[in-house]
Amino acid sequence: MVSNNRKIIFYPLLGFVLGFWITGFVIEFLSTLIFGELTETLNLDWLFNLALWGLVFYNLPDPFIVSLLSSIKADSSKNSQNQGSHVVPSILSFFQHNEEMDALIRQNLQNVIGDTEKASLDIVGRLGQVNYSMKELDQTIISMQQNSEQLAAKSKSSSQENEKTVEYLQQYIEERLSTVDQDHKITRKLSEQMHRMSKLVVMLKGISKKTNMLALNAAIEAAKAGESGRGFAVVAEEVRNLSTQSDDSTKKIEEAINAMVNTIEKEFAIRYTDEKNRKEVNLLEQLKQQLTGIMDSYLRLVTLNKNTIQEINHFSQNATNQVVEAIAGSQFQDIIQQQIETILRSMDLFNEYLQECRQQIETPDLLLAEPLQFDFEAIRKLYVMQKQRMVHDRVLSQDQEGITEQEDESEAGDITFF
Amino acid sequence: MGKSILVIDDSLSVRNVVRNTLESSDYEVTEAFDGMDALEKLEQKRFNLVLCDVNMPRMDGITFLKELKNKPKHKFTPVIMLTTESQASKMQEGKAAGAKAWIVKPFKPDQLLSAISKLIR
Repeated sequence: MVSNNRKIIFYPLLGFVLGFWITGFVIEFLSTLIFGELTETLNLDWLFNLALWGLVFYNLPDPFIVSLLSSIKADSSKNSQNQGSHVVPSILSFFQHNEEMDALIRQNLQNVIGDTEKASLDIVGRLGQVNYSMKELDQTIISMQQNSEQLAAKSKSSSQENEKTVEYLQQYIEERLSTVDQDHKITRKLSEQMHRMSKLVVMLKGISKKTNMLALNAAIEAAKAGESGRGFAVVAEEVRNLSTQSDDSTKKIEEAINAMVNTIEKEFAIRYTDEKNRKEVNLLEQLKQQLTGIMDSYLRLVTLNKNTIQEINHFSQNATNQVVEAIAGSQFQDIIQQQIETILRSMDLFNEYLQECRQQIETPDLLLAEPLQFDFEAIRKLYVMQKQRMVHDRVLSQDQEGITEQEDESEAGDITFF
Repeated sequence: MGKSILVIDDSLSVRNVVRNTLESSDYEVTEAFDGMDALEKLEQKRFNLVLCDVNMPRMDGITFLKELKNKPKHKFTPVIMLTTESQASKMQEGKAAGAKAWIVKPFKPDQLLSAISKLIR
């Protein structure tokens, strides 16, 4: 019991001495660090020490400490009215630095706007050149496509003409074969007729020989008749002469016929041999195949050309679309510029608020007036994008009691027709 | 050359983007940097369509639109608002002033061209 009483007296006493001594140092150090000479000027060390010592060692109830600290604050306000020259310089310095900082931030943001605009214009300018070149390329491709289509149409027409030529050729080959065959037959027939004529010549020769014999007999009989047969002998002589001439003519005819038969058989017959005909037909067939082959290759080439141009056109159109998309991408600069301009206008509003605060601080009569409130709703009204309003509401929703009523908004890229 | 379009925007980069997009589809483009400048351009020429921003210095897009609709020569020219403004109340203002369509930036080139071709078909 005694021991407990000692403890009750000893420990608080010890706590009081040590606490007073230690917290005195700590508070003095902290107050010098935070408020400079303020606490010294106000001479409130003992009150702080007491409050904090009580907090640490006696676990005094919070309301007491709070009221104690409030009284200190009230005292410091009262003192600052009397000795405002010590408080105001720091705050004035803050306002002055704020103005400098504001100018600095503004200049930097303006630089960002300028730089992004310059970069964006440069990108759009270069892509515009590419776009122009792509457009020229498109024109060239369209022209090539038209030429290709014309060529294909011409090729089709040529192909049809060639098919006709090949048909004619085929017909010619067949006609040629038929003609050759017919000529061959005619030649043979002619040859046969010649042979038959040779037989007639033999017959003529026989007649001539018999006539000669008859004339000779007639001459003998005329000689036997004497003077009366003299005239008959002359006739018989003439007949004999005619027979001789007829024989000569027949020989000449025979020779001529033989020569003709030889010529027909040797010259024409050779010309129409089967081998020769086959060679000719083969050559014509080869020519036909070559013509068809050339036309097929040409048509394939024309089709390939057309397909290639179509492919190039397809790729070119894709590239043009990509370039236009890339150009559209530089709209980011306008979006950034508008966001920065909103920040700058927000800074204007906040600066106005700070000016009012400064005026209040510089006017002792206003120092204890109601604290000034900043109107964040005024900033919200500056926004032009849904994103800005969303960020604003998200950041301030915990601090602000009433959140501005949300309005229907369209998304970027949305098109509404009225 | 194709049909003529007046592009009104205070941002040079946006005007360049729109010009490139429209010229790639053979439209003839004239630029104006705000509503006042646009009214001067309209004194010299008639356009098949007007593409107009909303927030601009000197004269904003909605005021310009009202001025345009008061001009007998141009009152039937279709106007598309091309802006970052996305609030329904602003769109209603545009509709009341006589706009035919409202496109929220950033736009997609094919959608812009499609909207234009619907209005000046």
